[in-house]
Amino acid sequence: MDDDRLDLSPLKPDPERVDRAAGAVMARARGTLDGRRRMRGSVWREIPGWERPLLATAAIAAIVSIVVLLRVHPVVQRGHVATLSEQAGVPAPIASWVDSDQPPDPAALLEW
Amino acid sequence: MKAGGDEPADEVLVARVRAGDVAAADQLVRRHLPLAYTIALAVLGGRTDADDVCQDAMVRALEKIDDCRSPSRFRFWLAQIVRNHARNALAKRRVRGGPSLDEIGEHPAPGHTSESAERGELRAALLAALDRLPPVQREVVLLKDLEGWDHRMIAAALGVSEGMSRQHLFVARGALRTALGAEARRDHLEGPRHG
Repeated sequence: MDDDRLDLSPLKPDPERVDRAAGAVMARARGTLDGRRRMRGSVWREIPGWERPLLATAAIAAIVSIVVLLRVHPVVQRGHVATLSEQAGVPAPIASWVDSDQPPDPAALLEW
Repeated sequence: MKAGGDEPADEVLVARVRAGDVAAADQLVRRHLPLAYTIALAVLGGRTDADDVCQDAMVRALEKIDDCRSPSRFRFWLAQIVRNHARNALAKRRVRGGPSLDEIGEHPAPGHTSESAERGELRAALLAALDRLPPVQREVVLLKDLEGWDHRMIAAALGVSEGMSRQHLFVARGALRTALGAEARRDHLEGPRHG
């Protein structure tokens, strides 16, 4: 026990005051609580619960896609190392200009 | 924080409120309204708007209950919301220059018994004495002597050390005793005040 304690009980709100205040708070919060009840069970409320499984599935799908793409379109063909331009799908004449590091002459440009 | 007896703990009520349970919200509000009022009173220093502030803060807490990261520590979270609301109200009031209870006085309503009138006078004297304390001392003494918190809880809620909480309590109690003693002597010399 704390013998030095001050009696501040006159400052305590009386039960009627607490009742009135609680009633006022609940009247103002009713809309929020109704909204929460409506949201319960709706699709949007379920989404956060599916976050982790969805992320795991997406990661697996990404890995499978990369493996399949590498098998179908191998980057390195036998005896030929693909250039960056080729990998990016740039047409061969333009790729050769890019790789040569020389400006194309106007005649070649017109011809192409 | 555990509730007494068979009453559900705060974390249980918070979970129900999150699901929109009106009865749980009502229970949570009634359980913590006195604390909210105490905090508002401590920050506002006996201002008349402690009721409004604590109601606004309660409504806000129910609206933002998803932000309460530790439902078992709901009362600390609520206390912070009330403190912020009260500080905002105080700042607005300073700008507008509104009166404090000390200035306007708090008199019992007509028709009250002499006992309630006496209690009203005591209440007004306490509010006036509290109003002279720094806010942190007001909050420490109210949380300790009115709400029954221990120094560990007060220190956690106010972000001070337990030693500092004890120090604030010691100074606040001394100042209140002095102020209330002076008030009693003045009443004795001047006689009862009316009107």
